[in-house]
Amino acid sequence: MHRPARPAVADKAAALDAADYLESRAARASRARFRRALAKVPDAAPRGTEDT
Amino acid sequence: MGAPDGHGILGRMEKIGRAFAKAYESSFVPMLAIQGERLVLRGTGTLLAVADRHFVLTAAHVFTRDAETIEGMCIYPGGGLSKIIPVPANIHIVSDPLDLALMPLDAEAVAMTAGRAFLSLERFALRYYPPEQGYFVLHGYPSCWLRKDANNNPDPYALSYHTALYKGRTDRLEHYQQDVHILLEAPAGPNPFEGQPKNPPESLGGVSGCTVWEILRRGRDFDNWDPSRARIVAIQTSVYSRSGVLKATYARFILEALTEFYPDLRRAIRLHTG
Repeated sequence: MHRPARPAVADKAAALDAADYLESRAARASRARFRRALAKVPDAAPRGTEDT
Repeated sequence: MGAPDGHGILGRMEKIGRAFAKAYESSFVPMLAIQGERLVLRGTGTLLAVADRHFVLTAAHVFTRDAETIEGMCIYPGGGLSKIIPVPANIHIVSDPLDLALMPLDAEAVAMTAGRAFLSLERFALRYYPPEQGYFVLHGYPSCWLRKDANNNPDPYALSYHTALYKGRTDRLEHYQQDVHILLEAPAGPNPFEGQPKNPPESLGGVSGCTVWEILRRGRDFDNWDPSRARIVAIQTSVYSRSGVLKATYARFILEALTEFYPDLRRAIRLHTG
């Protein structure tokens, strides 16, 4: 079987550590913010949806 | 679009699409984020279980692209805002050109996915090379179709579409690597699947990270198709809008990522790889 040149998962995995960053971002979220953002989401079905 | 055409084939493909959705839809989850006071669908995840570990599999850029603008991110398995699963801190990311992410779920998060099905590695084609002609299904949640329901809960509309291998020029497709990526045609025509918006979404943003399933090869029987034939062959990672092409990373790299991040799973993984 042809074996492709491996793009070195280990190297690529080590190249980025977003965990701390994402953790700090997640900490800023709250259910209240989520609800505020959700309030701006439309409630009509997308155009072209059946039975609308 | 190079997907099968003709009324008869489309009808049969729709039947396959319905059977596919019935079998696997509960394994796909939308990933929501607050971005600049807006709620957006950042990507689509697939639920994966290996031994006693549980993961959401998606594309790395779902977490990392414009990350400075993200203010809270979660998985939404449905069932109301009390069920949202915050993104944990220990996401495992493999950057370009692979662009893959494994998000582990703890027991509490797994409990919140009640009613959802975690796929095993048996569903993954881990030694896959595309045939001359194959038919594929992708199932994701376009951000432009995000709605809220009557109870003020998120109501993401799923896009499930069938497509075919892209056979055109590749020299203008930035970052494409033949040994890493499969190329597919982006949806262009009407959506044949029942219960979904008929027109393709204006943008495929939100579909990122969804799994790409090979459902048929040329010459295989359409009429006796059953969902056990479907295999995950790749993870969708980008869209070349001008060319109408989707790029996806072969599923075998998920296996490598699992092995890299979870050495204790090697034995369980070997059961699937032989």
